Amino acid sequence: MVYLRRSASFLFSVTIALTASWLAADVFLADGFDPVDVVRVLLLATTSGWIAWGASLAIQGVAGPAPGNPDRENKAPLKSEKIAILVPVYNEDPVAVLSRVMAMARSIDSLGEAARFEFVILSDTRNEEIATREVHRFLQMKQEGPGDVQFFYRRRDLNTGKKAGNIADFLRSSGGRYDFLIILDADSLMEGETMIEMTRRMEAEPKLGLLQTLPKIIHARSWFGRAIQFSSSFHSPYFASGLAAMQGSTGPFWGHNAIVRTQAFAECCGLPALEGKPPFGGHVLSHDYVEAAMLARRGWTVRVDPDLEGSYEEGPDNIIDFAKRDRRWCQGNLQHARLLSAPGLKAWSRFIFAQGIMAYLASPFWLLFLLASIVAPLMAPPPNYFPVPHMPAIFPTPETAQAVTLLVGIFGLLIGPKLLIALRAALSRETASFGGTAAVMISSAFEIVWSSILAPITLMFQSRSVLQVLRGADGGWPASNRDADAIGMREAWAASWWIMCTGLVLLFGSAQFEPNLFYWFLPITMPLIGAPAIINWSSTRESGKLAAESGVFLTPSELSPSPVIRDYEANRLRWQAAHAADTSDTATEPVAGAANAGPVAV
Amino acid sequence: MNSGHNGSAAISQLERQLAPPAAPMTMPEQIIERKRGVAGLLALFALPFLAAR
Repeated sequence: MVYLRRSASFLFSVTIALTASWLAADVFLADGFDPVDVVRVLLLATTSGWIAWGASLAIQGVAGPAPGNPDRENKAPLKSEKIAILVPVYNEDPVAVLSRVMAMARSIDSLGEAARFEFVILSDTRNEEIATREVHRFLQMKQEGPGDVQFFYRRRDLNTGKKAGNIADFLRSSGGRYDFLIILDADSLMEGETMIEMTRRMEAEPKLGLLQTLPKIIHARSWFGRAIQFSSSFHSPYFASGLAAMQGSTGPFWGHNAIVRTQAFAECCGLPALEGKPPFGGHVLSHDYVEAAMLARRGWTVRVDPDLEGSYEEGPDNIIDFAKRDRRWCQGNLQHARLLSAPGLKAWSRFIFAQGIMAYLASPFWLLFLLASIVAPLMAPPPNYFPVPHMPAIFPTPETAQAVTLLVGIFGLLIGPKLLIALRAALSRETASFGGTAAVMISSAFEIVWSSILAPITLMFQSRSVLQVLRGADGGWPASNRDADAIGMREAWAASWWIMCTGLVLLFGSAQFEPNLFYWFLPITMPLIGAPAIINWSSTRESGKLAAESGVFLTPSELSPSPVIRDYEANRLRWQAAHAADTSDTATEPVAGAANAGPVAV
Repeated sequence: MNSGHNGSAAISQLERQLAPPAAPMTMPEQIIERKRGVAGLLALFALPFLAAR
């Protein structure tokens, strides 16, 4: 069945790529043959095939069983003695992190399984002031938290190997104590029931080495953040279901909100540093993909179960932070080029590496295609009105119908899956938890328009990231700034003036060299030209408030927060208030996304 | 909140007390890179079908 699904997706992608090439050749060669046209056709074939591959994941997800209906029949009691819940931190806000840990501990305690689970804060924090706060908050949490849950805190002197090194260090020193490790991120939040169910599934399948959940984004405050939050709750489960249907036993690891079998992980996932300097050498940055591949290499099953609810994370609230994170992921994925031929890997693991690389190469390919389309008329041969001697003149005809078919087809591949998901959700009444069918339809329409506006800007950031990595620039690994304030116009301008200039060049170039393309380019050039304003506006709390008050991008975690979310919000409010009382720092900040949040100090 | 050598030393000692119990295990470094040439990228697109289960 897995073979069949992979074949179907592959054939679908190849068919789309070939059809796009055929239509593109008709359109591009209408004014005669030139080498740039060949490049354009090849670029379009690659990118359209890539889009079709993504669409096929969603189609397979929509065609499968509904995500989010966990099988709770198997309530077998747990057998494992100890499970560690690892929370790696790196200069993050201790109040936010430990508020989440406290909520998760209480959630597990309420289910009577406190004695089995131990929380371990693995600090790689370099900032001494933050580290001191970590220890103080940790002690407070230990004091206030459920007595039966064990809490540990360990800080490394050197953060060698970053997160992967942090976890490996823990495994080598204390891993022997635990049957399983639940690996979280600093912004992860999980229901106790979910963690218990994950453990139960690991116990039930001795060959299962890693089980990944699909975390939903919570606590978005801006328009940008809320759009991602909606998409992660509404669209991602279907994409993940499609992926799960194709993965077989070689599933993904996304680095957090997952459980691993300790012995398997220790045996298989010791990562060496690659020879040479970053970006291609040094420590493996996107280590999670590699760890999944290494587990599968030794015969362990790696799986994502999209039906596991109660798994959350927080995401970037503005385009700049999103682009910074994307820069890291870009470098990590391109570094995988060195691992494509790693010995013994499953074929699908190599394919996943290639897919991750393509996810970033697609952007410069699109950009090259746009530039080639402007340049092409300059390279075109002079028109030959008399291709057949002594016969009447033949004038080149613009292949408008093929061009429109091509454009509609590509756009259809981009938005079609989202429309299918909305239709499926409406028919199966899954829309109820998102505020009803009307709210979902409105949100879907806004999401499609918004992602269309955002796509050219993302394309530019990703193209720059790829170029930087190929030129040998190391992007480093800064801490995520999930509580960042809105991006001001000055900062937005500094980050995106070059995008605006590129938009102007494309607009001017199309008008000057290929006026036929001028209007076709407007949906791309206008967002580029407006990038600073778009970045600024979409990052503001007001934009998020506007969406919330208009009923746009509503999610179940917002409309009906689960107990662990509510508890986390309450903990955070209380500790922030305590922190404000302890210090003279009077900066105020509401808890992100909390409906009942008042102004409190950070 | 905390400054000076004595404060840092106290925190370091406290951190040692908060650490998880020792239970060492081996985690050998794996071979993840082939030294000779990289497989052709195009051939990768056929790979999913060679080892599907």
